[in-house]
Amino acid sequence: MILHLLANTDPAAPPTFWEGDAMSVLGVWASVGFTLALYTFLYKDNAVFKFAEHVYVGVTNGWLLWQAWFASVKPDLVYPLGRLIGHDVLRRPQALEEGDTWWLLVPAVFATFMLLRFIPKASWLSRWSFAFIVGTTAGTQLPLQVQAFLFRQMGAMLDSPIKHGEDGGFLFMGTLSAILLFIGVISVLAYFVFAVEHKGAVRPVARTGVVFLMIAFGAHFGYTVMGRESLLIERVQFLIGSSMAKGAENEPNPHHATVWLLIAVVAAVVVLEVLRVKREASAKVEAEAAKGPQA
Amino acid sequence: MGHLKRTVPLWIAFIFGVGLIIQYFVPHPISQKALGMTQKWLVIVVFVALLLGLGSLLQSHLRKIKAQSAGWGYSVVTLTVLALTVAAGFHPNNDKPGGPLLWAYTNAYSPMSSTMFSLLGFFIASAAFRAFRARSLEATLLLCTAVIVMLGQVPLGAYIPGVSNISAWILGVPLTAAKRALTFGVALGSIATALRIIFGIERSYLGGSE
Amino acid sequence: MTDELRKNATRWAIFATVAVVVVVSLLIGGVSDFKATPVVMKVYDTIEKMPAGTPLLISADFDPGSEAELEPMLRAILAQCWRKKLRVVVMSICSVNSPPLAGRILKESAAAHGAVYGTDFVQFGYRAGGSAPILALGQDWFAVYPKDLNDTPSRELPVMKGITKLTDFPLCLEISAVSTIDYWILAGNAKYGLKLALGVTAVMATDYYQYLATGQVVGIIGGIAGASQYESLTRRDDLKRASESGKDGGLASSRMPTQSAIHVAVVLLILIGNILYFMGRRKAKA
Repeated sequence: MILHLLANTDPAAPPTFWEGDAMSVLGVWASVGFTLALYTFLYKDNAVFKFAEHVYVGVTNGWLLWQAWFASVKPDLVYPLGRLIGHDVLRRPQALEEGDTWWLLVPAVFATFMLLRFIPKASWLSRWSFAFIVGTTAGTQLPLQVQAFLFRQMGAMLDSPIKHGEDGGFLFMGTLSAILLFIGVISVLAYFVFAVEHKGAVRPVARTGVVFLMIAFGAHFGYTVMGRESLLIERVQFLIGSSMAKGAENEPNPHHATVWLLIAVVAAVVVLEVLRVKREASAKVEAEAAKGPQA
Repeated sequence: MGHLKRTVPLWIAFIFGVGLIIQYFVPHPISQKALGMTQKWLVIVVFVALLLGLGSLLQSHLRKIKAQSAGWGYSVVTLTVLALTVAAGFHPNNDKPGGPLLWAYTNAYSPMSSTMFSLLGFFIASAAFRAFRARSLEATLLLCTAVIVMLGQVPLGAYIPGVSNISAWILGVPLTAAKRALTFGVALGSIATALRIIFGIERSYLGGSE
Repeated sequence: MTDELRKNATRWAIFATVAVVVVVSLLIGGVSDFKATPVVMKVYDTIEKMPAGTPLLISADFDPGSEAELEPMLRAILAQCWRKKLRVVVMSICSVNSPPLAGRILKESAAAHGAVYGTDFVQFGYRAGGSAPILALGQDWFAVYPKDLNDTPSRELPVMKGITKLTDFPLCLEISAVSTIDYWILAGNAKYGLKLALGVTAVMATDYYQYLATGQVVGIIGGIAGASQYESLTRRDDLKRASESGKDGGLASSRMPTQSAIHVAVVLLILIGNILYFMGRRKAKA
């Protein structure tokens, strides 16, 4: 079974059970169930939420593992190496393709060293791989950062603040905004320069900087509210859609999934909470009983 | 042995770092090809690095189960689901539509991921109620801007005179000014970090002092 | 239990308010038209001016956590691309979760508009490494993507005709929920002069307005509001689409009445919070 993942083959897709009606409906029920289970966190951290949360962690990591394999390790490393050797793991001959070079051994070595992190005696070799990652990233990013984030943004500051319209007429608001923009950047920078004490002439400048920062944070908060609420609206839209007796065109039939699962999830939370409270109460009684004779 | 553990990594970071900086200023085709090649290597190694996270996850959950510490049952859930998902990947239809792996992605990972983030829709409303107090001039500015931007971002805002225009102006002028200043700071910080890495002053990525 | 109730009453009341507002206004339904801001209009106009057959690069850099905001955006842009008969090339540098999501949206949208895979559009997989794949794509497209997601050699795809590297695209649309935008600004724009337009989540949007003034970015579609404005533009120019109630007609627009309602609710919550605060302060002084 493992071999077909390593071999350079493309197994023909059989008619799939996973796309059938039964699995589609089960899929809707799973989606609704997990969504509602996670929403129980609004009441408080509870066993139903914890269960869903741990399923989430498991499924996420399994998925990531396979995607790392399919998206990079297989096509960029294992297959090209097979072609360089001349055959795949099933010993079937493989022809060289454009771009296959033995230089590939460099990332192959670094990738192997990276995995040695799990073997205590050889784990130090993974430092070489990390050094490669940070060194390459630093070297690539440095000149680009200077160009994109410093020079281009500074260049914009040096433009003339006097603005004219397309017809050549003077733009009062445009000019005022350009001047305010300049004052804003300078004053915020002044606020962050802690080498100079915010006293005397620096104080009002830094204070102005705070005003600009507060407006920026307010705008950011406004946008954040929009973003978070839009995610919630999508989820609720999905739950409402899944509460129907029949699915929309080309959509699986949910058979009132939301309604039934809401009842089930609420019941599960109530039962588990009652059990927890009882268990805690009896543990308390036991603890006190154990204390009693000693006292 | 010591220099293999400490000195060689510093040289690796230095050679690749300086090499790529020089490359930036050399437009020769060989230099361009070298850039393409090193970037491709980086893609491969970074991907393998992603697998490290999975290893630590396995270790921590196995430890929890072994010690039967509080909530170890949940660790069993995580590992069982992980095993099932990994097993699903061996299906001949693995990452193609119609396989169990994509089924798990669509019906478990995807809805749970969306839901996790959407929970913040509730918490941010609660935060707005509790934390947004007009205690000072600065706090009042923050509050008013947030309200204007919130209303300016929905069609309803068009019915309140001025809100859309003021909201657009806030984004174009004060916000841009503050973010530009912050960008300068962040850029200078990351340039300094990059230099420290290349010249071996920053060594935290090497981990412990072994 | 009563202690717990007292402690959490306010929090639960707010949660319940949010839930009720969202559920009720979604049940009432409706679609809002939303006048596009110049920032959104710039993206739309740039694409609108492209002649048929122009290749357009879309970097789909989002995962399920931001699907709600970015799916409507991608659908609206795709609808415009199909109408303009552009060649659409989709790739991802954000996470392994992006290709399946973008793939589903592409497949559904293409089927609804009769776009053909390989001729009108193509999808490439995820490449890790931040700016690394962008820099490599700028040298040679086929070195990074020798094959598409279906394992077809990239050179054999009609949609890739005339494309050898990143700069062969007159525009790249970065649809993103994360800092991959920085990589596109750094590696795509600063290094290769690639023209960039952004479709980003609301949380990210405020970080990128500064790049508009410098011309590093041509326009920004921000969050669900931006998506809804974009939909209004596509509806304006595509009467056939406007009459359809399909997802491309207005996934974002169908959510805007609820979005309005919840924003008003949050503003009211802030207001009530402040009234209670000042009342409390006055009482304390008295």
